[in-house]
Amino acid sequence: MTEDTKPEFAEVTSERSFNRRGFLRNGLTVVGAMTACVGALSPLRELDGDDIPSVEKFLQRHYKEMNGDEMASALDRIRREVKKRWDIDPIVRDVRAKDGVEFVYALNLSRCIGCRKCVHACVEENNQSRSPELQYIRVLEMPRGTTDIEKGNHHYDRPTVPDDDHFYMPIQCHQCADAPCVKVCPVEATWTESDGITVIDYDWCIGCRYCEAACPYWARRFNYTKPEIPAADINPEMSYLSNRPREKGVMEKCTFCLHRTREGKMPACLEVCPTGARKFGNVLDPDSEVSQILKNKRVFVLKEEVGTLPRFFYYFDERYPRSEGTAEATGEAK
Amino acid sequence: MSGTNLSVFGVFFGLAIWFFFEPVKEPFPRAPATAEVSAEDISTASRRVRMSEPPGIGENEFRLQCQECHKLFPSDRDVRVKLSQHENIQLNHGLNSWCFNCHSLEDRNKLVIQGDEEIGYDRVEELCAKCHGTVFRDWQRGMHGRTNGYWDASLGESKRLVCTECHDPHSPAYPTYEPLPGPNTLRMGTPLQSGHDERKRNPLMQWRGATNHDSTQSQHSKEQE
Repeated sequence: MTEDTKPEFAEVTSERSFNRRGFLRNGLTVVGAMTACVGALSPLRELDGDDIPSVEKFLQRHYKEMNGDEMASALDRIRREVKKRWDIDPIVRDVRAKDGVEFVYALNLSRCIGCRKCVHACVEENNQSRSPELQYIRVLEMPRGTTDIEKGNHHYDRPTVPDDDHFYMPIQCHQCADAPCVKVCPVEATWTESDGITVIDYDWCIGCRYCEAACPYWARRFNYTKPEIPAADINPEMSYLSNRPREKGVMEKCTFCLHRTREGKMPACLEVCPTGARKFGNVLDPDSEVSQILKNKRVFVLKEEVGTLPRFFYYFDERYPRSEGTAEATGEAK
Repeated sequence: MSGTNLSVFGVFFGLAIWFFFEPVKEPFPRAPATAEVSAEDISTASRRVRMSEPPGIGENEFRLQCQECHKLFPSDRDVRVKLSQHENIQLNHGLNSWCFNCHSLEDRNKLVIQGDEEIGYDRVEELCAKCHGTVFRDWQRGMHGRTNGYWDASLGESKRLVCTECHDPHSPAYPTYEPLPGPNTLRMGTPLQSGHDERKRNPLMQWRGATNHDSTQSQHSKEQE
């Protein structure tokens, strides 16, 4: 009995699975699913080709592991990328630290007038993003009697500075000797060099922003979007570890202008300072300006209690209020 | 069974149409850009030009040094009458309000320092040191004033600016500046936060008492609102 009915049943089944209605239904579902797949991938239309790293860049090794030839080709790649994007021929170099040099910055809070020239000179020198804005230096207008940076105001907008009841405290990377940002980096993309400058390999950074969170001075800045810089504003003197153009998704920060300072020059923020409040030099040279300041002035560091051992010192001179010693006090001079 | 297939198909197809015809989104709105500053605003030039030569009046062949007239008539050390030729000199140097504290009575091309020793205009820092000894000491060690150029003298010239490249000797107080534009990001707190009156909770503010600063402060906070 079973032998009789089996073929019949099988025949019916095969008839059902290949019938016209079933074919169309299944076919339409498959076509619909494939169309949906294509549709789901369609946002890739918006992907910018520059967002995909080149094979060369993807295979590039860590800064410390690159040999001379690899560094030369990396520098050449950066040169080509800058040429392609801005149509200018930059000078890209890898400037190494010198022996017997440890950089220290000293800033005289009595002389700083809060003019913000350093902020903008730094942006110009270091090819920082203009849109969105990214600045390494921030200048705080502080009320008298505190160095608590939470009480400072970044947005002061007076007709003229300085104001008699405030002092001005610029803050940038302190190049700490025991840098928390270096400790937290999961991929060792940031480290402290022998001359005391904490640097970032922008090609190695994965953009996790742990270092930004670890820094007690908020000295690190993240490129949330592709940095936009007008071609006319590009500084063509570039170096691998400092002011070469950065990509979206990497960290950056002040490097004491190492492309300048490692060749004996002063940093851009110091050159532009109209009052001479900024002092920079080699602390291993006992006659340098910074050594003299550390020896003779009452210096302090910001947030000493967090134990970061900054290489950025603040100090005061005596200064009298601006209203004294002027025309009213010495009216007879007329 | 067929109903399930059709509804799955319908969902997929609807999604496909939605994804495909969804317009390309506008780029994410950017944070405000950095305010542009002119090249002069971030010039590294010194504030003043150093006067190494004795001053004078007139141009080119009509140039006359002060001494060429002053040698013809004696000046009185103790009289301070402002001549019309000196209208542009605004002396605002604190207690140092006598011309001949710094200028030589006999020779206008010279400056005079301690013990009536006469020096040229190229050694002006020694004249300032006569009164500002501690500042001069700081300047000598590089703790006061600007040093531009190279920190490493073996690689290039280190240029330490002298007193008169920043300070006007007749009115030496450093002038006020118009600050360059502030940050454009709210990550540094909002501008409104700065409107608070610091005086109330800061005992160090009280020593100044009620000054004209009160009016400027309130005016300033009004502008921010």
